[in-house]
Amino acid sequence: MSFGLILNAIICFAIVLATFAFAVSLQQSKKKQREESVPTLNALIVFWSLVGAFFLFAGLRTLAAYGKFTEVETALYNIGSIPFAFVTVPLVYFIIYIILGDHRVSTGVSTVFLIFGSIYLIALFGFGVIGPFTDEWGSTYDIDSNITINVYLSGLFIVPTSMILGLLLLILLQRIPKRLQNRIAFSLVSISLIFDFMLLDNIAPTGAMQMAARIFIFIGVVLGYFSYFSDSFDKKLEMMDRRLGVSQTELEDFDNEDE
Amino acid sequence: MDIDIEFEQEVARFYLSMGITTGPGDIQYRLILLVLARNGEDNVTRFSEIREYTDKIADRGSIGGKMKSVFQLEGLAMKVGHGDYIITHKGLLATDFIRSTSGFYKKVKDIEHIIERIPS
Repeated sequence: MSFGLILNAIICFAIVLATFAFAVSLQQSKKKQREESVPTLNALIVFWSLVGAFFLFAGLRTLAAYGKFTEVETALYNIGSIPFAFVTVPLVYFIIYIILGDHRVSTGVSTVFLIFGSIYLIALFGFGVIGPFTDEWGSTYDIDSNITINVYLSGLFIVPTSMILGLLLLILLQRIPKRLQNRIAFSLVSISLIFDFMLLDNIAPTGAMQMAARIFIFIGVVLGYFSYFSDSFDKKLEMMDRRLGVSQTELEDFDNEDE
Repeated sequence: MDIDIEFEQEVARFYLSMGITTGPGDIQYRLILLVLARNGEDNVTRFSEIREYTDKIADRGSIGGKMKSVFQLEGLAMKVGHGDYIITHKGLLATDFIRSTSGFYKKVKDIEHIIERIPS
């Protein structure tokens, strides 16, 4: 096939690397966290790991498409659907726990989404998929059931997205330090971006659209990473500036001004 | 309605930390007003009832002084007998304000807790 498929697979593996690096960095930052934020941190680690797992199989699937191994490709699509179906579970836990701070309620609500995810998988495996349809840029499948798409759209997509946007609005409307507000907002925007484009990735009718969705997902992961670790990145940049002697000099006002 | 002394102290400390030393930041003022408002405009509040709450945080003399210098002088409460007080309409307005400061405190704390739960 074409170079486009290889490029598509490379983007998938870049997402895998970025998400796993993010998950590992979050895991390493556990000791620095407050006790209250440990459950949400765990949920976030699981979320990024599931995103990474989904794109690992997506990347392998694209390579299989390049090699024309249709059966392997379908098997990888089915395996990749498992992390895809359950990616909402840690996400919902994360949002509910942040808002309410109650472990039991958060677990209860995320269990509902676990059930939704299971229904989606049962419907997906039960009704099957049509494909693969391989073109220059990617390989896609058609889900052979309206029930599966409806379960995904109503249960797994609309509700969590609304939750993210609700939390984002709640944070933006509060009087909290600007730096903190930006960090939280960017983090939520990145999650939302990834979540939305993962949907598009899964139901994309053409390889080009799938490729575009994956590029946006990669941007989302990088945005998410920097929203969390921008402080250390800022410090490194500052250090580089000083070493290279290119740091900005602050110009003071002229002392002998008349006014 | 029961009055939670510890919570009121917490709220008063919060306002004190903002430099608001009187009104919302004054625990004695908060407790006296809340006890008076609990009995309403139609019922007499005995000084001993107020002291049930204030004894844990201040001595009798300072509460008596506050009753005179703030509550009676500003018309928040009327003295109707020896150690008997009735809250005025103005006093009830002040109570509404004090309750709204508790609401504001709760809102601020809720947001603080939300932020604490977000991984940093």
